[in-house]
Amino acid sequence: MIARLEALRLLRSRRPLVAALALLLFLALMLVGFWTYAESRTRGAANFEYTYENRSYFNGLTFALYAFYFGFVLLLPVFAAIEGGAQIAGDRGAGLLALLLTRPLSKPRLFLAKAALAAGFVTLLTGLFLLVALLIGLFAVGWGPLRLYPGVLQMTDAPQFLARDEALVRFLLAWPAASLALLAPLSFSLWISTLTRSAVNAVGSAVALYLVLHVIAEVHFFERLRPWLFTSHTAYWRGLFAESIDWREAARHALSLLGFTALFLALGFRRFRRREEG
Amino acid sequence: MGRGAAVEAVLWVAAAAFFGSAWFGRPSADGAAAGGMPGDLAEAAAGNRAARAQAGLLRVITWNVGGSRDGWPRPFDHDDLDRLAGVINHLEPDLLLLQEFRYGTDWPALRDRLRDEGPYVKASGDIAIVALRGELHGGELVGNVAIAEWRIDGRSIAVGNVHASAWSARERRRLIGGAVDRLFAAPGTARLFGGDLNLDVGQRSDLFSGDPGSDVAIYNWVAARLTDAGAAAGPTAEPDRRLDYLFTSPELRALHARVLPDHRGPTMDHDPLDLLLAPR
Repeated sequence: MIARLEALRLLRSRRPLVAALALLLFLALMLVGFWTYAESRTRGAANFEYTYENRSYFNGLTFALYAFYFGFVLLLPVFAAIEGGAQIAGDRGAGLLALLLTRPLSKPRLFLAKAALAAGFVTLLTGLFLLVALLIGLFAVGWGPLRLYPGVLQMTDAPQFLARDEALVRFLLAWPAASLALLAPLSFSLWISTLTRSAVNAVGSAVALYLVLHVIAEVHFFERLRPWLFTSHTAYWRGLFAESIDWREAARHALSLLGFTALFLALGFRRFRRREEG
Repeated sequence: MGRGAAVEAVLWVAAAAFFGSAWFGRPSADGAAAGGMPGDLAEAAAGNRAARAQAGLLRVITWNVGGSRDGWPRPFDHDDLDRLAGVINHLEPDLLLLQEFRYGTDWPALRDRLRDEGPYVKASGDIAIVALRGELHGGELVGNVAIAEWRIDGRSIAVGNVHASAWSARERRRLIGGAVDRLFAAPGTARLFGGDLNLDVGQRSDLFSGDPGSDVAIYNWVAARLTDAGAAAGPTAEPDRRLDYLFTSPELRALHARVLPDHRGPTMDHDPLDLLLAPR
């Protein structure tokens, strides 16, 4: 009952629509950028002597992977943070939380229903984003084998080659792996949401803190801090595009992310169940 | 215990269990050092040159033996001469690619300290190819690029050694690209290319390059032609930069590559990169 109600409220909130439109716009811009980059870099200009780039390197799978990577780092965590932040603080700010709790509904059930619904939404959004990126890649550029080279995106440490069908399997694996990675920022924002009365404050704080943690995890200067930040683990799904997947390493990152998710949920739930609503 | 407390307890326990599993699943220092090398190959690598030769294996080491003082590079320091000779005598490589090493002043002093008699040397600029087994023939020696044919165990391997600019991405690109072009034009049924390329394509640390895109491009250009055998070996210079490389053609199967962190002398700023090869 509460799950159905929360799902209905999510749909009526238009957050899914906004997220889907934003991701579509992002993909369209990525396509334009990708196209112009490929054109400018593959005309055989003299200054491209001794480079690897050629027309066959760029295809729909490369586009999908790079678009998904950028989207995963820059957009999806923001939508996850918005979803988490809006859950408790949004209801509290609107006076709806107190109203809900007047019904025969336990706090654990309400909290877990909200967390599960938000996690399901983020998983669907991730899958949809990946699927649309692949389809745009297919129709606008065309699929082919996936070739990855070391570079500024750190997608790989060594050149990788995956045949088309194998690469598609890896995309399929990347969906649950990336969705799992987004549970950490989602639960983080859910925890923040239990600390505030305003959804705007909760979302703003969660996004700002996520960005700070993300930057710290990326900068070499903070190397010692990396293992303690969930943002150090979130991009682990990139390892699924290696010719030979290091499953042990992937499992280690996934377990760390699940640990952070459970930790933030525990902190959020502790605050939620002890706080008097009214 | 109420339902709320029970749910909270489950979440705390789950967090502890997940973190614990991740912690125990992390790679151990021992595992990293072993590098997954099969026991018999590890034995062959650790064994002497004769044992490796009998097993049909080759050991190649590239090492920038220079250093820096007050932030400025300086060539090999003779204070480290005994250490360098000791490491070579201990590891017994079949082929050495040395950088920041001057043939005129450094080689005579090093040669006197080596156990091996009559190694073949091809040197140019501040680099040298030293064959401690087999013979070096021909050679194209221009600046910090040396290309030679290594004849060993009935095989002919084209070998290239370079020391690329530490300061200019453009010069690096030209030197490395030109060297690989010449390597492929050189006689030999297999290709081996290495040295201090001064490329940090992983970019996990601050680059001393004004053009990281150029560095990435030239690395990938080489990697599209040859296999980066030391890709998983780790950094060779501080703080975590992988600047030294060994690339091989398909005729040379890389069995094991590792960086040897405890072998450099006090004046050096690179670790040697050690590669065990099985020619096909």
